[in-house]
Amino acid sequence: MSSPVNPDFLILAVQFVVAFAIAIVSLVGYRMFGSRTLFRMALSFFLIGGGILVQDAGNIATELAGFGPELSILGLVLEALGYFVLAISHIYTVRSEVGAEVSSMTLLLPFFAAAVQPSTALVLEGVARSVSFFLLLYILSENIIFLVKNRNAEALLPIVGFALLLASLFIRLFFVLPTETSDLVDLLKLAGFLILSGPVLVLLVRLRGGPP
Amino acid sequence: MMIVSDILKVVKEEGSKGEGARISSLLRKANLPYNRLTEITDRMVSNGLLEVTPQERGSIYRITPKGEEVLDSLIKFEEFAKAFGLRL
Repeated sequence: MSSPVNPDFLILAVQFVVAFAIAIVSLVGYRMFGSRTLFRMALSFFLIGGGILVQDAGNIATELAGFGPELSILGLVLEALGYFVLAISHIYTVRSEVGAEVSSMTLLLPFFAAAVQPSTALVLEGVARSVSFFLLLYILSENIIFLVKNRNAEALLPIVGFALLLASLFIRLFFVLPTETSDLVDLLKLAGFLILSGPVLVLLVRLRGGPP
Repeated sequence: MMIVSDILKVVKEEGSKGEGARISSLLRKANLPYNRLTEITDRMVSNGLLEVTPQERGSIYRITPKGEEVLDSLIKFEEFAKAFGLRL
């Protein structure tokens, strides 16, 4: 039996901290300006962070008490919901409000597809990861289009971050990995989250009166 | 959100050029109907973001120190959202 402070748990804990940092900063912005975009960003990253926390709890429960796969799956589903809310924000950014409501319904398709799958734990885990993969792919594409259209260099950081998250999910979905390689994939996801924290750090420096 | 940000930007820009921003230049740049624009500027005046000086040929708007502060933070959060490919 391994200690609860093994590297896997630490990796998940760092991901959780980064996701919550983005969520809290977005929430502060929402409370200051009432921006719906910032509200959706806060909700999205709270769900992603919460999902990671629940996965971490599930892993610890599995290690210590021999139960917990259900918790891990719940965590994966929460994470997928977080990506769903973020994807909706992108739809609202590129379309009119009415068009966005219709378009965002199409993002529910992977969830409907997931609902008709037989519900063994392994299948549910795969379905939750597949939904996240589909949504992350959409988010990454929108970020790239935004970067190209607006020539906004700061958008590069999240693009690299989301690309690393997508790469780690792709490997997890399509390859059966030995434990050592599995750790490397976790590190890939960790690197993605750390890079996603870049815009938060830039904002905090600017709010403290640093360079504009 | 973009409307408030746009109005503050225009008023600040016009203010730095001279006496302040007239409603006509706000109408041109904010691309809003007159009634909607005056409703928003009235609210911004009552919130202390803008100050208004009535004149014979229409009111003149200037940004207040509180308005400058809000605009500054707003721009920073706009950049934050833009980094994630989103608009406020």
